[in-house]
Amino acid sequence: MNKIWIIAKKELASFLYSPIGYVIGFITTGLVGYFFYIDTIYSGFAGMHFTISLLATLSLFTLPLMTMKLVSEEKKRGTIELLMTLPIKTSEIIIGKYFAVLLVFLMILAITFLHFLLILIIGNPEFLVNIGLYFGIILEGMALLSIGIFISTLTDSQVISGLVSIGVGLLLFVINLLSDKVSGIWANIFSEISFGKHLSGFFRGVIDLKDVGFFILITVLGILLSIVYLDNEKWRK
Amino acid sequence: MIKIESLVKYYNEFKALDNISFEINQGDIVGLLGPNGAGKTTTMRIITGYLSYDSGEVKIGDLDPQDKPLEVKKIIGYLPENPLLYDEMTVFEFLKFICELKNVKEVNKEIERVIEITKIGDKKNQIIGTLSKGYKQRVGLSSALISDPPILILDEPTSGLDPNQIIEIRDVIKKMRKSKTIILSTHILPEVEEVCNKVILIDKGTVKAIDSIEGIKNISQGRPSIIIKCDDNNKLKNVLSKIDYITEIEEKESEIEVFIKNESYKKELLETLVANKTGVYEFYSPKISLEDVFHRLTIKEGDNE
Repeated sequence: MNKIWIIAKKELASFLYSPIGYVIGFITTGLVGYFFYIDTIYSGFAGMHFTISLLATLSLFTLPLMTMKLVSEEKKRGTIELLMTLPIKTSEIIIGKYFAVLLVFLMILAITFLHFLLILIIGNPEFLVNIGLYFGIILEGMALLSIGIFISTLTDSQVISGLVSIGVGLLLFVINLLSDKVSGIWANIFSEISFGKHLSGFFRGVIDLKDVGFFILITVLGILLSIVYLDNEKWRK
Repeated sequence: MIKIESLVKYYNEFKALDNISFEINQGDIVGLLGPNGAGKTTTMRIITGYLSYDSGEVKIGDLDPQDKPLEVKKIIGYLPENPLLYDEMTVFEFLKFICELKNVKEVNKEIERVIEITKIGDKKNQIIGTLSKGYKQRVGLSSALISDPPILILDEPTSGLDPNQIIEIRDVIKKMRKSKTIILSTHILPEVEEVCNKVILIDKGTVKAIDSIEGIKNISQGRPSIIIKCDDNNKLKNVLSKIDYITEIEEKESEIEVFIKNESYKKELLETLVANKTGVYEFYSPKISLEDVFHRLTIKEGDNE
């Protein structure tokens, strides 16, 4: 656990020193503020539905920007060799890096949470539904970050890592649209692996264990694949 | 301390290491010598556990880096060919990061200890990206020294440095003689002669020679000989022709090379020459440099192909 935190600290520091974290934070909170004003304050709806759905879409682009460098930059600079020759497990490297981006994501979310507190003060929102919405977006973020870190282990190019992650995220988000066009098992598969479908329950105020389980499964899978891939690279080089 | 037995490593179809075997004892400073692409870095990466191997046996102490990677990584300090550093960190932050990953208890004290050895105290708070190549190399060496590992693997520790820096890095390595087992790769031959007590010469993925520096020179030296310069070559030849332990006399422009049965006759020969008043003013065994050996051993193979 200790070493995971050492890696996470290093990654967090690199977010502090590089503009990317600030830019993503600024864009996210800025757009969220804008939509919050349009949807909630201006039209008087006491809830975060529209704002969170914007965040869910925005994350498809911002989270890959956060994960794209995690491993690919180490590969490009060769520092992965440094890490891999120090007494630290590959799993600790990956999980540490994952925690760092998750923490940045949660910090940005925390800023948007202020809007909800504002609604709580001036309006009468359905408290649990809105908390459920946040729960949903956190789960979606966890899965996207995990996919992003895995794709980042596959290449030493940050740009490719970022673009592919965005592409995969977008595809997974809307892949349920395909399920109407095909039949049989594929219809089920396309529907079941869709982020959009699993997220929709949270917007209806329903927290289904199946949806929660789906996002957790994707998260665990992404992290595991990253560890296995990186660990096995020593066989291929 | 380090034992490698019939090690084979492929990169896809390319056989990078072909049946390499050697053994390194505790306290040895071993020069891993070979032309570019010989397999030096691959061998080192396998020892550090960064790369796996296809067949053979690798033992660090009694640990296999493939089975017990963490344990092996704990006892090895590794300096890769181009020091791998986080450019955005300061020297201190970087070394602190390494200390933490190596489980060092007293971080500040350990950092002070290593930067004292590598003499980078004045750059402690400088951003690594702004340092010169020589200083970066020393930061890399410092990180390898952290936690005082008994084995050091140094991949071309002096490449790209200016002559003064080379001397400094060599001094650092020499200071660790006895206390550590060191493998350093290089193609700078005087470096090996200066720091190492053992040479492993590899070329095209195979071991060409393993020996002490003297031993490796003898390999290609063949028969012992002595070069003599004197005032009167005819008189000298006359004297030499009567000595029975001389096997051959070869006259060159201004000197004569005399081949003797073995090294122990040197003293007797000199005394004879002086007693016969041949006017000897130079009398020495021809020095075979590692360059010659290196060249001969690595080129010969190429000629055969």
